[in-house]
Amino acid sequence: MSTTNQNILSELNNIFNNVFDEGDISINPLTTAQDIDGWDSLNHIRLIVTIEKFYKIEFTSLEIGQLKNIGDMVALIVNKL
Amino acid sequence: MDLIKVGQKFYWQFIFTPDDIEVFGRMSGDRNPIHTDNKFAQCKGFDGAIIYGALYTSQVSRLIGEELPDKDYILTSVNINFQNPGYVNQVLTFNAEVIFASEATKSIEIKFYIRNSDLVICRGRCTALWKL
Repeated sequence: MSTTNQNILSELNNIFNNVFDEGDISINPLTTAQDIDGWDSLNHIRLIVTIEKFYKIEFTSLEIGQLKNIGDMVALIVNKL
Repeated sequence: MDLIKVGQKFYWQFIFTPDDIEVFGRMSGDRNPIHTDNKFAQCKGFDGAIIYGALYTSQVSRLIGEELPDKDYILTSVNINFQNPGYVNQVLTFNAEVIFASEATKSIEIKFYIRNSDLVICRGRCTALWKL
């Protein structure tokens, strides 16, 4: 994993802990919604919106719908920066 | 209908009547005399009985349910800070502006103020989801 991707993964980890109001979430490229308690549809929206604001980027609903894991999310963010 | 755009603004005036206070006290079960007894409230340093803070959020419900241009939004969060007391029969103004819109999630964020003339009674932010 490149330094950029590693940095984004670290930033996402902080975002996840803030959105899910936890302090012990540790994500990796293979993490999926099934791995995190409380990752429901509303928290998914909060997560995406928080990421859009943090990186000042915009996703499309198609892009979001195609994400399979955190690795895909990191790649999508890198592609938009 | 498209998602509401950032920068769209909303404004109206309203008052809370003694009847509103009575109904809300009955509904909520909050019968604290600070909301119903002028003398009690004055002993606490207010000009009279103060409006329930939670009653102001009713205007956020109006914003999402009635003032947005279509009926397809549901309220998903409210964060509100109370800064000054409000009193019955005051003419209050509600101002709101869309500050974020996410096409990907069909959600919006709105900041709002409730004022009595130039005095801010409360301010906050809410989010809503566009459900077609």
